[in-house]
Amino acid sequence: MSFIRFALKNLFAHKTRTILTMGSMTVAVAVLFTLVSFNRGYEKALKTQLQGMGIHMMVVPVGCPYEAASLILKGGKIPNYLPADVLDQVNAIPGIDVAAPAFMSGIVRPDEGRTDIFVGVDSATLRLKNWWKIDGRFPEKPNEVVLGSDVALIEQSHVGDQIYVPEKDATFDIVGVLEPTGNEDDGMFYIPLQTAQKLFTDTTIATAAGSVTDKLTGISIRLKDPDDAPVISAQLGKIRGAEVITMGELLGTMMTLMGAAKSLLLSIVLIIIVISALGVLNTVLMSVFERTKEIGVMRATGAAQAHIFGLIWLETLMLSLLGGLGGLGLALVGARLLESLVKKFLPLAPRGSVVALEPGSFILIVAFVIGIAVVAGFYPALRAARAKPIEALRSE
Amino acid sequence: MTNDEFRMTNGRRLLEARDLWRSYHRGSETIHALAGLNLTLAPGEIVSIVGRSGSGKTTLLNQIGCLDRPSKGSLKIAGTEVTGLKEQELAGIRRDHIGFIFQLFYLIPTLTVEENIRLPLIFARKHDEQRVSELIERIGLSKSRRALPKQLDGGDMQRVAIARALVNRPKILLADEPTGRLEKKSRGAVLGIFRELAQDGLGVIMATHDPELARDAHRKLELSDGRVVSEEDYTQDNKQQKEQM
Repeated sequence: MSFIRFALKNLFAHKTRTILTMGSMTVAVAVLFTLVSFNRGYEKALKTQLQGMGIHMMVVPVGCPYEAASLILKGGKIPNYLPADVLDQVNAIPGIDVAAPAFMSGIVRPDEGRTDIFVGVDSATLRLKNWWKIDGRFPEKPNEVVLGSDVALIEQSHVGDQIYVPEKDATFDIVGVLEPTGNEDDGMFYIPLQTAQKLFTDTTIATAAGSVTDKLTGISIRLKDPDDAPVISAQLGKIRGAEVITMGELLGTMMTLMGAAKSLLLSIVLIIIVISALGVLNTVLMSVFERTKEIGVMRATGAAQAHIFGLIWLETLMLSLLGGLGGLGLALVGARLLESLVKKFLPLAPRGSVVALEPGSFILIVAFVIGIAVVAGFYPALRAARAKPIEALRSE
Repeated sequence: MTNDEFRMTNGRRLLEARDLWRSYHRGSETIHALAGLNLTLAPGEIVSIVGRSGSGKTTLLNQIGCLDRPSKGSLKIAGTEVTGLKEQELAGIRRDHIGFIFQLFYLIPTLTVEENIRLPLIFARKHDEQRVSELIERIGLSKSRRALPKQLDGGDMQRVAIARALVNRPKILLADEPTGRLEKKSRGAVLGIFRELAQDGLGVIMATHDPELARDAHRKLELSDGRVVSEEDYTQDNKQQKEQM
């Protein structure tokens, strides 16, 4: 019989109490592990997605950087437009490789639980996203559309089919389907820029700002040399009515937005963990009180103070570790479920998995649990070790 | 063999207590549980301690077992003066030299018979399965080695407690009312074990209310108010009895 086996036997002498205490640790660790994994996964997914877009910066209408961020990731509607001559001003700045104008708008279909995003593009988009592979061809005529791969799946449509957009009373010929890109491009309808401007421009905003048909919601820019980003960003920032967002800023903005929610969640998890640690301390302390005579017998049969301290500490460690490992297991099983729930409430959720179950997080949490056990077990272990053998033997 | 012969034969003492005091304070009153007690123990000697409740029997065993510290006096165990030792050193003395048997057995309820016996080896960081098996066989519990204490009767539990006290090969065995909770048959068996152990050179000190058990020792000390008030040597009597038998 080893010390570990002895400690295990002591732990499971009161099964219900031990299992309940372990359960509280399991829940706390499961939530913590999921949160840590989510935080890492979200940042990673966001970076991957932004890098995968091949865009170094965006020019958007003044006053709506967050909406622009949302547009970049998920698509949507921008409550403002860029002035007509911005594209020419952008193209005049040296160092810009491609400047692709876009007019983006969405049609909300609550009954189907989705929003169809229509993006008006021109040939510059093809140059910007030069990795695109289209089964068919790029739209040229006003009533032609290319579907993202997910859209084609949902609509069950192929090249040569037609789709009707009842909200705009418009029919489009499908001339191409985009091969899967793994990012948000898969979920959009691509139509000619001018068609989008005609169909989707909000006349109330456009009238206030000038003509109806030459508005843009954003210009995606790729630089010849990404190191020029600060200089070019400064030049673009001087254009009236336009605001520049670099991808680095966008990532920072989104992580800041996430930060507040993350802090709140972390605070809740920390409270759960403190409660759980107190539960562990209480369980071990009760066990020490109940076994005072036993501890006296152990001292009489040769146990030093260090043996008793080690035994009680080992019990705490095992209780916490078993609960913690249970929590990690629970998190591994339940992470995907939790991810789908979390994604529903996240306004800026990137595509793909936002939960990164990494070995680093695993080690971090195990170390954290050991830390809790070390702290929670210290007092009961010290108390048990300090008990005088004769007093421990006399206890009832 | 007389008491003096024991000491002479072995030439060394397992235990030597000189002018041992243990005093407690209750308010302004000072109570002397031990009041200048002297005691020696030789290898192979069985000493019984008798006296009414509160006479100091258990206090004396606790001092010798290094479970408590004397207020005054000298206590040598296996040649080591233990009164000034640190707690860690006292644990070492208990582990290496002392075996303790309690009236209520005090077995660990979650451990099996063999695990209870093995427990002191864990604290001594020793692995001696042969010793554990040998003791289980000696106490006649081979068939119950995986039984829990609650599955045993009082006599068997005391045998396990004796085996646990012996597993580390102590030099002194201390027994506090070892037969107090046992039937007559079991009492005889426990005494038989003590005699066998004494023949192997173990020194045994037992506190008891049982006059028969006390008389079966080599020497009987009677305590009153923490002092030895009478001492009887049965060595010759026992020898003669055995010869007559």
